[in-house]
Amino acid sequence: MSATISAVQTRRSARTRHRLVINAARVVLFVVVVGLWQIASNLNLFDPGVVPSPIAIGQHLVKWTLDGTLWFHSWITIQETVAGFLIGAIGGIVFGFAIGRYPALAEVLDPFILAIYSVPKVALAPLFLVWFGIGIFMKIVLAAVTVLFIVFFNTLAGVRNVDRDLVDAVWLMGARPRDILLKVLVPSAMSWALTGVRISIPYALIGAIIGELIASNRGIGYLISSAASAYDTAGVFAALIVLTVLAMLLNAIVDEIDRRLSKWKVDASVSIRGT
Amino acid sequence: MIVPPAIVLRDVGKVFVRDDGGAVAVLEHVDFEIATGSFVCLVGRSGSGKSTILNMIAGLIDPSNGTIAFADGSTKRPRLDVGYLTQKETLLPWRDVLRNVAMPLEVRGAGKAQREARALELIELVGLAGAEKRYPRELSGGMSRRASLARMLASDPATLLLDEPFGALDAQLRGDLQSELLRLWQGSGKTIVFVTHDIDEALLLADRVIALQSGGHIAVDVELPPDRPRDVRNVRFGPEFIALHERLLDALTTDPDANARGGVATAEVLP
Repeated sequence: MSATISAVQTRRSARTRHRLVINAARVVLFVVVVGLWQIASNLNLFDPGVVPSPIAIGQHLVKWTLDGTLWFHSWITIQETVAGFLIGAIGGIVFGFAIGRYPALAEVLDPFILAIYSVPKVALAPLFLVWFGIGIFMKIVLAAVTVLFIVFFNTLAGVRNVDRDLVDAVWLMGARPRDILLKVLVPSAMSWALTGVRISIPYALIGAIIGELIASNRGIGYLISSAASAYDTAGVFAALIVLTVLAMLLNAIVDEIDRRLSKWKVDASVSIRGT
Repeated sequence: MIVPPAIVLRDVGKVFVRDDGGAVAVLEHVDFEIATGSFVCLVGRSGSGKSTILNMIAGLIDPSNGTIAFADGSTKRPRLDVGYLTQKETLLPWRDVLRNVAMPLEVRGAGKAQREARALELIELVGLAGAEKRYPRELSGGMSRRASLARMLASDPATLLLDEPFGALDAQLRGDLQSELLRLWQGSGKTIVFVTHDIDEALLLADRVIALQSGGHIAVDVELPPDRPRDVRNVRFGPEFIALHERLLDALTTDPDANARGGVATAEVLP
């Protein structure tokens, strides 16, 4: 008995130690790479106009943080991403269910939807620029359109892939069409729809950033392009770091959603990252 | 007082239309009655149309001709007093056991407290106490079957239709669930129509065994002695059992049309 407990404890402490070692290795790797980079910069191995030193990038970040630039532009990008995502996700789910409920309609619309889906949404940016101007709205539309199609297709697939046997079983219980819609079709398709929602979160950010890169006077995309046009590579790097942090935050949200959705889908809870 | 039969099939036929436009007659002139309160097994090889008969009684498909009537004379289907358990698991994966078992009551508008109390009772009855918060993915094959059984019983149907319900389980578990089913049925007054391809299973469970050949042709229709409760081990080695087993096996293997359709599940070799 005590042998089993101590065996479990040993295994647990082994796992803790393993995690510790991995995290330490990550820190060491980061410090070494950045350190070598800084040394190389000090030795003038890089042209600072091409590859700025880590310290120069850090100074930019500190300055932007102190004067509010960082927060101002990040906030704009976050707003565009979130608004675009919400509009796109809700629209995608609503359209997916609406069209999925009418198989004949879905069949008629299929090639047209596929055609629009096939167009890289980035290519629509100049058109949206003409239609909606350079303001925040154009970025929201670009993000929303990107998200909408991903969520729409997943929802439609979900509605189409509802297990007929489940529908039959519930129908035999005496369920009315409304029960079947709300208690079988919607929850069944919802897992597909939410998979689409999950996948689309990073695309909302991509849509917003591309919109900002093409034409804007605010946002992280603007920060990148304005720094680049001023040949301020340290500024570009600093803005990219801000963008990376934002993207990682979004991914953390996606992981959290995944974890909650996986309650009845055991497979999905297995994280690919292994941590 | 004469109790009318639970189910009456009169000259029932079913023709399926193939994708290429051809028609296949799966059932022709099927004619039998199921006595109220009896346990009837339909045995047959794959393609004998036994599942089609069950699907028609349940109301999932309509007969191409003939009628299916119930004790009250009605031919309307599906009926709320008929429960159906298919071989395939149809628990809703996004609901835990409790909410799955409560589902039939939910669609009938029972209140939450009432349906959950009833569901808990049934979960206990089928031996799943403690598993009510688990999701179908977290259940073993035997547990899923028990949950499905509980769900079917939730609306307290007078007639139970079971289509090879234990076919996917290992022999041990199948034995357990067969005993469980008998325990639940005995004294309940419920009518059971049980489809299987396993002659042993039919002889163990039923009051009456109907052997179907292809087209739904009835080859053997035999009443079994009412020797309840039956013991699996005793039943299997009795001379009557062996004779009946032979007769049913003959009926299924000599089916002129079935040889091309698929195998018959024979019992283990008897001593």
